[in-house]
Amino acid sequence: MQEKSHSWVYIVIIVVIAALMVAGAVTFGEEKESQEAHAKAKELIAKLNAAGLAAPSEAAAVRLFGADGGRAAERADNALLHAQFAWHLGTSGPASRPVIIDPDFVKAAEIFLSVYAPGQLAGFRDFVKGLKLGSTTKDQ
Amino acid sequence: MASTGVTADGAAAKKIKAAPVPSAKTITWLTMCFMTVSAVASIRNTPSMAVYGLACIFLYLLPAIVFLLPTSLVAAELASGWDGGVYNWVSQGIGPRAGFIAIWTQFAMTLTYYPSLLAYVASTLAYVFMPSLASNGVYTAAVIVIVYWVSTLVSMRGVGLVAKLSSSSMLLGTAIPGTALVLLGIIYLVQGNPSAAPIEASALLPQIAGIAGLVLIVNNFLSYAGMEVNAVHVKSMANPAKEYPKAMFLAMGLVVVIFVLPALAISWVVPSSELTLTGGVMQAFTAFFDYFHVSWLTPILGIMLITAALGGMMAWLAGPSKGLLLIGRKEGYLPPFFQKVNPAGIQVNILFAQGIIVTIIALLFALVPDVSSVYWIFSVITTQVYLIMYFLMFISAIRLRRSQPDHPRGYRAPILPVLATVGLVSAACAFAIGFVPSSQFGDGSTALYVLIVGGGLVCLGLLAPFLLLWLRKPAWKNAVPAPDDDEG
Repeated sequence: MQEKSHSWVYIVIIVVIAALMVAGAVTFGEEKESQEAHAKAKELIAKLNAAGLAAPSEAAAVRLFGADGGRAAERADNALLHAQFAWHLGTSGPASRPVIIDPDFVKAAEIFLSVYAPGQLAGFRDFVKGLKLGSTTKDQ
Repeated sequence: MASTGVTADGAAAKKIKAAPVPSAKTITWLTMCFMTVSAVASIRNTPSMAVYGLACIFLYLLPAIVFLLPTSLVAAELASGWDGGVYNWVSQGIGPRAGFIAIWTQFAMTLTYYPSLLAYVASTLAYVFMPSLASNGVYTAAVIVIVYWVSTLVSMRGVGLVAKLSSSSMLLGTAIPGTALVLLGIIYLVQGNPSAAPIEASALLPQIAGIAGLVLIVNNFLSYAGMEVNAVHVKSMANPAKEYPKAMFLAMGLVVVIFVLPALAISWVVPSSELTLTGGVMQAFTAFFDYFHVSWLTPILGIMLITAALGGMMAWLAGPSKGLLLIGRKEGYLPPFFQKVNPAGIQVNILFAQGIIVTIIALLFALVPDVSSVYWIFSVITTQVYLIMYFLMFISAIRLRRSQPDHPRGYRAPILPVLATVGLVSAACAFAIGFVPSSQFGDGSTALYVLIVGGGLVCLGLLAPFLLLWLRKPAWKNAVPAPDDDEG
């Protein structure tokens, strides 16, 4: 017996993928330039530099984070997102497991939240205060 | 090739009719190669490796030499001589009980992998359409459960369909966007822009001193885990003795290229400070595209990454469960209920049981914050369990060279005992590092951590399969007759 033809499965999958791509491209919003966005970007850069961390350019920070942190500030104190944070800094794949997080990553995230989403800072600090940290990057 | 087929006998055989399965050789060597790449590699974590700049070459090449190479060449030799995949290799090399434990450990690992992979799918979808959903447990649970079951139902339609979908998804969701990232990175440098990450000899090595650096390096061995998973389908290839090794050689090269080059390209364009700040994979891709003023590509890339993740998941759905069926039926290690296959030859009841377990785990993960907070430890335990399979596979390869030296093999790996020993040592290192507490364990006692991981390892990796072995009944053997042309 031959395997059945699955043409309809392929068609459905192609249509769904194409529809999601089009819908995503249409609805995906970019961060808007504003005076507030520039002010926040300057504040971020100053705080990062003061902490001895590398900082992005003002233009990049404005485009990426806008005035409210954009998608990067979305509910950063949530338990579910913290759970996924465990994998983010390690490898991907079926046998992935969490690593020991670099303290600079945590410091940078705290500074970011203090500028763009101060309301979430306490929750994030609660999460990171229990973390064991260790250096994995060279100073650049 | 040695047959794993069995003849029908036993009372239970009368109750459950053997199902016809496809006899077509549906998997070409290229499809097998792409399926393997799909199961192992993706570009979804390239931004997190791009943080390490030029050192990401070391972080991927060292594990490729000490783990990818042994795993792939050993699997290529074994699959070119014996069908059925890891369960049969270990059965032949050590014994059927060890073969059952090998396939069980591979299967058990997937139970925690699917929820975490699908949580990534949910968060990526949310990033594209409505970022606030990413932290919504009900939304995450719904995406995991719906997507998982749809994928399971699709995979029940036959291994040919799974092979086509997973290999196509690799092209669409990994090869095309990976190539685009590399091309954009090259254009960036050719235009005279300075690389954001230092390109100098001193940047080649990562921070090695300290336990955190060691954990990062050794954990990267596991980036290449899964190269052997599709060997269970070799009977669906026209000439597996020649074609499977060819597929593995190409897959090896592709996997390394897919991991290294896009990560390098991102490190040239996006400063590590931005990668660190953005805090998420998709945000980092947004930063990359933003430099080229094509940030509208971000959602399209997001959908492509989701496609790749689902294609890879389908390869995993079809692999270990098939091996479990084959040895469960041949040796009578599984009750007849789990030996049932559908007209396409797919182990439907194993997949349903797996689906129920995954659904429960996923609901707890997504809806109960306390479970979310400790979920990482399950991934540590199941990875430790999975490493047992690699120990058994490498030992079997060495033993088979001695016990069955003249058994026909389409490919003989050079210096196999050395390769297998290197693989064993690498797996042992990864196993040992698995007992080093990661960040989330905080200041907890290391002894307690070892106890938790070790206890989980013993319960899931040893007690569970031994319980099934202990409970088995003689009537379970061949309770459901294997079709003559069973693809596995």
